[in-house]
Amino acid sequence: MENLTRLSQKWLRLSVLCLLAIDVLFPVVAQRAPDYSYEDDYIFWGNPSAYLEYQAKIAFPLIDAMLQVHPPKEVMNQHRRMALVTLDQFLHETNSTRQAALYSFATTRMARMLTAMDEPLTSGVRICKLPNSGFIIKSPKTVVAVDLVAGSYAGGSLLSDSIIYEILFRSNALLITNADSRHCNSDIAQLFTTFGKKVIAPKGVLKSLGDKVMHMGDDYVQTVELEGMTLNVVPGHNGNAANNIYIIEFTGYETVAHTGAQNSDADWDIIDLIHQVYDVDILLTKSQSTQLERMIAGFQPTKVITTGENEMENSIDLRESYWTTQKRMSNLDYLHVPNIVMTWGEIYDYANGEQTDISAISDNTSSSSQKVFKNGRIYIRRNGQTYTLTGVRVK
Amino acid sequence: MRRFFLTCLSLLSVIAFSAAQTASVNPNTDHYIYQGYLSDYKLALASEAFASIDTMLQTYLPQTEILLPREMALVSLDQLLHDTDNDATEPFYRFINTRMARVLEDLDRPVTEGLRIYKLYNDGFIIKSAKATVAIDLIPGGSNAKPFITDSIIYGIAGKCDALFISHWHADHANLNIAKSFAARGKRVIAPKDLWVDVDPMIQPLAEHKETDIVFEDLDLTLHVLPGHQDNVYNNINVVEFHGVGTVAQTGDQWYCCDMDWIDRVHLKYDIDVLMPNCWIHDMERHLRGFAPKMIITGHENELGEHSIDHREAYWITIKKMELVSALNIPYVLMTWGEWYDYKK
Ligand SMILES: [Zn+2]
Ligand SMILES: [Zn+2]
Repeated sequence: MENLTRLSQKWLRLSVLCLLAIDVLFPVVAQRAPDYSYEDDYIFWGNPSAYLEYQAKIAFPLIDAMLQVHPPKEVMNQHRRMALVTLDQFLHETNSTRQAALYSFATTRMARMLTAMDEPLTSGVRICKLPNSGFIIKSPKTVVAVDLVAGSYAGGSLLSDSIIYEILFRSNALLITNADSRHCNSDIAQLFTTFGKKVIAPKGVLKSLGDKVMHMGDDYVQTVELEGMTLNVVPGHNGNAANNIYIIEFTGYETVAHTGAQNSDADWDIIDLIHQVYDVDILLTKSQSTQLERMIAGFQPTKVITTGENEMENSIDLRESYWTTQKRMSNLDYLHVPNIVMTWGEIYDYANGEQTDISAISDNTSSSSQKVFKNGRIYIRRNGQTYTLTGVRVK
Repeated sequence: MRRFFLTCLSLLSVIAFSAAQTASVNPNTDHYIYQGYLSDYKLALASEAFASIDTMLQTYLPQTEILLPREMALVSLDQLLHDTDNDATEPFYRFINTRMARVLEDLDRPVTEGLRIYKLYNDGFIIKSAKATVAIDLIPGGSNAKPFITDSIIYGIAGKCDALFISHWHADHANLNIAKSFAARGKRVIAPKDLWVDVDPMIQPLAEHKETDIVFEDLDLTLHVLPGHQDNVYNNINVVEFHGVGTVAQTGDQWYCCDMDWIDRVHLKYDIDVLMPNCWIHDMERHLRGFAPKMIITGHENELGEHSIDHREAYWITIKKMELVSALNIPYVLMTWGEWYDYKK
């Protein structure tokens, strides 16, 4: 009897709620024309999915704008932190219907990065961050891509084919650390070989491409001379799988190391000693590790740039956030190795132990224009005129 | 059969996985690694994001122009508040209570000129002049068992107000315990017709649902109640005239076509300085023309609880809606919970 009363109370409450909903929704729904657009009134009642999709459409450009005004630096200010933690929120959603905004966010940033990447570099190295553990590293003499993948989300690719081609055309070589699809894509590797670019991968990886791929990584450290660089390959492991650690000595310039998906305890005896043999300037290493301290101690780099944040292929709990990376790195402050947390499409220029001025290259239009931050908004100054980011001239 | 076996196997692994999630403690919390601990991760993310938002909002205070970092913070807040995983979680309670505690503290700061307008959860406002502090639709939010705002904060805030005006009976606007706390201190509560009849002599529902003037001599103000509706529910539009200082109007949940004729003419009778409309009011433009305020502060964004997320009106939606009426050239200030704005004529 009590159950029955409870049930009928529940029904009563439900029907009251329904009536309320009908009451509120009806006038809106009734007057909607067939060519109705959400821009007419911004009422999303009854369509949570459309609402969230629109919210992403609003948020991603704001995140992008904030990140442009506050580019990667060793000390992260609250503006950049805010932008990154908001990005983490959006990248830890499950619903794929809102991913159109993500795709355009990634594409816009990549296109801008490629333009900026082309700015002349006379010294040091330029490090460009791609999805997953991907990087493009440029010295005045060569350009090398590491772990270049398109990055997948909701069945699609984060990087379009044309962006992959643009990266390919700018690169002299592709280094692949391991066989995992988050690091290695055979179509992209094949494309590189087709265009006569060097592809280096661990033994047993990309077998189908045969000797078009230079297979390296053995029981000992191997070294090979390539265009504009000396490449040292440390044979590491991800579990039992081969994982090459690349130490790239750019001829006449800095040394950058990439650890791929290194996580095996069996390799510490080599990694612990790396700093005794190599003078690593920048270490690109996976942030999500309980052994980060030992990794940094082994390389003793001048700076660390973390990799592998927000791999969209991973489940949400495993998908590393920018904010968790920051927390983990700040746990290691006592090592006194500065770190830089970067996101997709960002650039870090480094020479002689320091970050060099990137303001000239982070511009999203051309080298003759300049970004200004006024009244909390970003504008582009070009030929004495001020424009909004969307190109509208401001009086 | 094979499919059946596979289904059983995957079911078993799901059960084992969820058991692992609930039963064990994440061994890698210190390393900020949450693999297998999704709800822990989401709590930690929310905590981090709320803190970032709070810091940013304190740096970029409400003003008539919304700067990029403030807009970013508000949209970030929208995203958090539209993820139901964050409902009624510790990070949310901490965020809202930290901000409300600042209001409680600030209410001790005197106002010497003009009006200080505080925005509270949910459609609540407090307006403070040099001589009076009045609350409109002050509620603790959440449920009676677990209110959003702790008793010490919400009753602390109530204790600093001289009068309470209620727009209508819906629980997101009217809370009897709060009203009783005003009455217990000998402060008047003005409610719509039929609400809280004969509860306490200080709790005074209107006798008729019609335009009514109530003078508060001790507070140097007059309350003009305009008889609005939310559908068929009486909805008092409270127009508070602080004599010689300024006039504010809060519309409650105004939503009724048949009030529009007289709303069109409100400006002919009242000189409204600040209008606080419910952000989702129907025909915002016509209401703005009717009230012709000098300034707008919207209310009722991000109402949690009863509504599905599509009707938790986001701050960015208010920005967009105000863009639609920007031709009227009325400045507006977009505020979130626990913020205040000093209005001077
Ligand atoms: Zn309401
Ligand atoms: Zn209501």
